[in-house]
Amino acid sequence: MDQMLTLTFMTAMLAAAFRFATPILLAALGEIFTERSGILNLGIEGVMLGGAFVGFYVMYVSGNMWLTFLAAIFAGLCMGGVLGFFYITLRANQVVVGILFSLMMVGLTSFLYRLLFHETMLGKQERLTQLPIPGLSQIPFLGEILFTQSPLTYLALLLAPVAHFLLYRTEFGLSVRAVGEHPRAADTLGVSVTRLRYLSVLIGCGAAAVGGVFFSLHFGQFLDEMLLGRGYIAVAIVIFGQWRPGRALLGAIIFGLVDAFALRLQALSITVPFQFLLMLPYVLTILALLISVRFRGDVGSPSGPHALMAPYER
Amino acid sequence: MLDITKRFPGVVANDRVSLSVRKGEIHALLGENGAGKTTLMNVLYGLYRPDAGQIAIHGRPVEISGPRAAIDLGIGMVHQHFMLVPVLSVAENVILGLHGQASLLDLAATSRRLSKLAAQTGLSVDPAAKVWQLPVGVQQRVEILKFLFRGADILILDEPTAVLTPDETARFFAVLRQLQTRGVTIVLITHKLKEVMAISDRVTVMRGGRQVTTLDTKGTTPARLAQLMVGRDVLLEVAKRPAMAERRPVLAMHDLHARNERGLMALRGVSLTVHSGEILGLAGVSGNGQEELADVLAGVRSIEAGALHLHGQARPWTHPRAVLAQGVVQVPADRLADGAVADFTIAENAVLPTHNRRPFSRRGILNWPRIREFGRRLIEEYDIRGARPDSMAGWLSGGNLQKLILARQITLDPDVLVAVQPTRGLDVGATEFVHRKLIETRDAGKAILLISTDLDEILSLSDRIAVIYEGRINGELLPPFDLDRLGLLLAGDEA
Repeated sequence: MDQMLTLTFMTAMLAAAFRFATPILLAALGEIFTERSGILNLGIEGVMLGGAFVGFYVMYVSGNMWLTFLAAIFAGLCMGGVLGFFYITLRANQVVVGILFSLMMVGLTSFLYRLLFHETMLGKQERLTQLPIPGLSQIPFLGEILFTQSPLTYLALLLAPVAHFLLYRTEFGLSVRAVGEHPRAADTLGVSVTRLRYLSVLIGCGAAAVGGVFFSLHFGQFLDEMLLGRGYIAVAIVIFGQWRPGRALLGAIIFGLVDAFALRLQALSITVPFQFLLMLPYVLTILALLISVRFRGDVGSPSGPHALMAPYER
Repeated sequence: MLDITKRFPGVVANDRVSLSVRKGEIHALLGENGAGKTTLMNVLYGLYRPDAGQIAIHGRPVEISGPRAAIDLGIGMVHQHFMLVPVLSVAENVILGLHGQASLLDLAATSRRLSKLAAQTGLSVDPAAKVWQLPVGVQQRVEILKFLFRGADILILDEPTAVLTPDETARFFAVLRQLQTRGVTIVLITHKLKEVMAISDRVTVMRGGRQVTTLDTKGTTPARLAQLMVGRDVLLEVAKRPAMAERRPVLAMHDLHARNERGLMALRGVSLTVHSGEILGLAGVSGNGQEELADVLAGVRSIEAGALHLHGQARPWTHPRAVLAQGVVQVPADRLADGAVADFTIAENAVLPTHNRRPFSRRGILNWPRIREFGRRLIEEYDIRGARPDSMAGWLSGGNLQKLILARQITLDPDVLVAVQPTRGLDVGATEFVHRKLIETRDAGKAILLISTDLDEILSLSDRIAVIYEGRINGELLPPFDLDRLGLLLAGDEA
């Protein structure tokens, strides 16, 4: 147990916490917009997986990091368009469509993987490298935790305040919130409910796809089961965060911390069966959800924006 | 608006309606529930596209493709159910949709302009307050400000006084007159004759989706308007024979005690007996335990003490289905919350209490032809307008929905019918219909308990009046009713 208390151990664990928080935070920030507009996107798990796959493939073929990101975002927007068509235009049941989409993506990505690579497992590919920020990364302790991360982690951390600004300080954010709470009121003021919901679903799916890329680039490989339900965790983080970017950031970091902690404990050969350690982040998520219901944010009901999951018809 | 026609599946809501409103006038649009007033105004506001007809504003023909186009033409519409987002602040609600999506919010400047506008028009409101914290009267001001802020000079108000107390209504009318002096044209949708006479310059009457006529308010009378509105002479007095001479006690309440939602004792010893063949009116200022008593009688609120007797025998009163089964049936006050399921069809609503019995189901399998047939029968017998067995109950106007509920409950052939606020929010025609049905039911030998805060209703229907005050029966009156004594009892004086 002594090993746990050393500074090196703590620093490494905290750095890992931010790393693990990255994809969840990206997906959660996007999902905040989607849900604020009144759409529950449980297809987010599938979108992340799709983003991970497309990212992996483009990286494999081109070796270009920028191209990889752009391709993943494009794939995310395409998947968002499909999901949006079901959610908004067809007014389908959002839970059913979302879950089925996520299940379908598991099959689709592993099928395409075999089709494109003709093997079941490729060796490890080029990975996302850390990009220490000059100067800041030299700060003792903090430098290693916060400023020696991959570009995606910086992006995710920066996007939290950006999302907050967008949601609370722009006409777009106000319209998204209004559409999710009382779509008819927005409609009677000439705000297009359909357009805003599509935009919000696209934002959510684009962000989720980038979150997905993090997985394939971080591990340098693609596996259809590599997400381990992180997309659903992102949805849970949104609820824990009461649909606010700041609190979602906090939730993602807590989740990352427990994830990192569970992983370290395994390495320390403690006598607890490792399965229990693997469960830890998920158990924590459930507990966090139970507690968070007690807080009341600026949304219309304890279960979210008032018109969440309610298709709009004039 | 010229020759506007709007059809919905199975219904013609507006049939070649023409409406001409002059600049700067207050124009009342009068009609019963379901006459097509709101539909017509939704067409003007761009929420519905008309199937035929033309609209011209200031003499120029216009195409109104949506609310945005209407707003750009200077039209604002305050809906009966407010179009405000409760979790947002007043300023946020006002600024919503005002600029392009890409612009930043400037709430401070908006609030300043809003306060100034509010001061000028007498519609004072705090721009920073969250809408859900505001009383309905103030929310209404926000709705109006929303459109004045956008420079609207034509305001459509859909039943604006439905949510206001008489006092608030008077103040609201003063604001309307003030807006009129600022050059704002106002269209007031209403079914209240008193309001038409009090505020409007001209009035257009609608009936059954058609425009009947347009008149100068000064040159007409409430009686004339009522006649035009319902298309026949309204019975101002309810025609009824005296109650049957031979009455047996059916439902007896003994010293009932029950608590309200907050855990406080709301019924503190109610003792009442309802006889067969009579209407017992339970009068009282609202909030004196009427709601709780209605809940107890429906079997959805448990009693702390006391007993309920039916036909002289004490009965348990713990489950709504058991209560129904022993012949005590209620027409609840809140039609959409307790009386019907808005997202069910009329036929489905018609069998809500009986769907598990023959002939509507057998061994748990529903018999749809029978259910639809029953729905059709109720629609015909109770004159439920604009409805088919498969249309959604939520689409019905208040009066027609109440007819459906009444039809269903009376068809259960109960021994006791508890009617709670049975005509609240209904127009003249529907009110008269409900009253007539209640009297018919009484004449069929049923016991009726009428719980109402509408004294006119109590006085015209009841064979006997009991007054509830602070959870107790404060006194009973027999005809001829002594109005002075009734007033004293209502105010809580022991008699």
